[in-house]
Amino acid sequence: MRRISNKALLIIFAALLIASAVWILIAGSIKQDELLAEIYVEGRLVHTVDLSEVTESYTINLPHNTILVEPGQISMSSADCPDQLCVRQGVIKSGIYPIICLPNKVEVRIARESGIDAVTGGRS
Amino acid sequence: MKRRLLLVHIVALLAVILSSCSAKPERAESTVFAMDTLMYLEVYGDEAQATVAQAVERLYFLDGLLSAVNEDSEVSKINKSAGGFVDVPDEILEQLNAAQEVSRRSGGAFDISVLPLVTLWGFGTENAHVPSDEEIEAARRYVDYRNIELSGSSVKLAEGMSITLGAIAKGYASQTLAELFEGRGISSALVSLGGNVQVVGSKPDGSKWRIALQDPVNAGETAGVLELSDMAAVTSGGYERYFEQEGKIYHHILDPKTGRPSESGLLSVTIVCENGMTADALSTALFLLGEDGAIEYWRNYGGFEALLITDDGRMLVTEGLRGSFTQSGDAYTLEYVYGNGGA
Amino acid sequence: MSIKRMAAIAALTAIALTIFMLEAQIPVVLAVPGIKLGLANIVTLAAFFLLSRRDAGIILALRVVLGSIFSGSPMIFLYSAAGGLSGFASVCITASFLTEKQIWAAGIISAIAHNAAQIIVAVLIMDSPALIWYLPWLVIAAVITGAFTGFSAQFAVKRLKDMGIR
Repeated sequence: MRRISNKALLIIFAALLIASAVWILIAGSIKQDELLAEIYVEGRLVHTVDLSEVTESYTINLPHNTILVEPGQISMSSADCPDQLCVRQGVIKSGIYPIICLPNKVEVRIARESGIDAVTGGRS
Repeated sequence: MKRRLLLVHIVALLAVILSSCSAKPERAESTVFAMDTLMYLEVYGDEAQATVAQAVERLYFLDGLLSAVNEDSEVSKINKSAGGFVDVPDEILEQLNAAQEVSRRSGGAFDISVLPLVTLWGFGTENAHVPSDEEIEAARRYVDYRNIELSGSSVKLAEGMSITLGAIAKGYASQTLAELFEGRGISSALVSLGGNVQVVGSKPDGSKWRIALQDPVNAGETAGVLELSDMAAVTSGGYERYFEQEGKIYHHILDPKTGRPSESGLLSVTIVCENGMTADALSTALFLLGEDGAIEYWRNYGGFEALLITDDGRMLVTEGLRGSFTQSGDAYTLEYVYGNGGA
Repeated sequence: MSIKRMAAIAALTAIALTIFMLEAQIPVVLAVPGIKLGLANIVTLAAFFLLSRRDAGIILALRVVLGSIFSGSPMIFLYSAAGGLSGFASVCITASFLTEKQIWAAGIISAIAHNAAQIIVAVLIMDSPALIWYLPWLVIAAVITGAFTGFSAQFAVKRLKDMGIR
């Protein structure tokens, strides 16, 4: 049985930490040009909003979640899930992190595909 | 000092003049939950806000009128009065007439009297399950559009029958809104009622509205984009609502002739037509007719264009959409369908 | 299996389960899906190095199953099972390289494997590859919480061995 020294372990973990930090920095700097927000429920696209065209805030009421749409940004204002992580995530305005509510299978993200005004055939 | 003040005044004056010249049309939008789905309206024009408010009122009104689930709706009243004549409002009459015409033309593939079957299968509820053959046959006895009698502004269903306007109501609603918008001088608007899209005019900048088609197999992907103005686009697909039992998938588009989910070989049907109500009814009808029946219907009656996605990887597009449709990706083989005498 | 072992396993499972349920009540600091302290792992790790792999595996399996039954959500079972399985497998693989003074490292390794597995499961269930962007956050969190639980387990194992309990 070979042994690993503590030093080797520390180096490996430190490397992982640095790699993760770098990944996060890269992810944080990716901005999208479009401000098209998409709402997915159970994997199906149910709604798109062009956040750059929004002038007044409003809310979208889904059966288990409410989504707050504001000029240039979008967030989950309330949800009936136990951990409320989606609500505490706050607003997204660009970039690639989506807001997700795992228990209710709802996802809100800023799309990279541009120029679509509506989608036919959603969840009925 | 004086000169600077003068300059500021001139700049301010220019700013005011220029801003009023290039004033964008007023924009208003709203998203509401009605008819068991998300409804989105986007309107440009004078008094856009007031128009949107009126449109939302109309949607809630129609929801109450047409819901087959709501006990107090007009549709429920018709169903409870089966066996005798009952007066119905114009909104319902219009839909009944349109539905019956599509039923006749499609040889009964489209049939609004399928409610007993829909309720039996339980789609959309927690009770969704595969009924027994006996249960299906029992329910199917009450499914036949020919036993719906229309006389003046009254309707009579045969005993035991019940109807649902679920396959036509959203299209009727979008058509109502489009007419409302045009009546109020709105020249640019888009509504998406649970996936039933209808647009008035083009976008404010003059370009056509871009409407994406969902890929029925690869969730979240786009199969193509339609560029439209003054049109409705409605898609029917099994993928929209289904359940799985013992490894098999059962989708919600029931064939009135078999009482079971349609196995017509189509995954989705998109209809592009000036009238939203027609588009809605035809999307279901052509789905049930299958590829050959759908193309035959289109050649015989026309008045619309269609995109059919088959279960063997093809996307069939009627020739009228040439120039308005662009495929996204290559998940499907694109084939154009031509009218009589075509290839 | 001796009665003594069965009793030990039962007791440890109860402890792990209690920690698991209690921890679920604590609100987490960072709003990243899948983030948790993973304190119940202290029991799993300690059992792994104090008793046997098989015992630790049994305790883990029982905790995952019972934990998801009590919390009433089949989704929790899926995520818990995926995370638990990967965490356990990763320690099985690397344990032969580690001494009893390096249980802290085992804690980190199992935490990383656990979180990575959970994010992958989330990507598959939600059908959203975009979730992968959360992985680096989860790795960093795993290193921190894994070190904590690892050290705690290491401390516990040392103490218990000193007291003569096997």
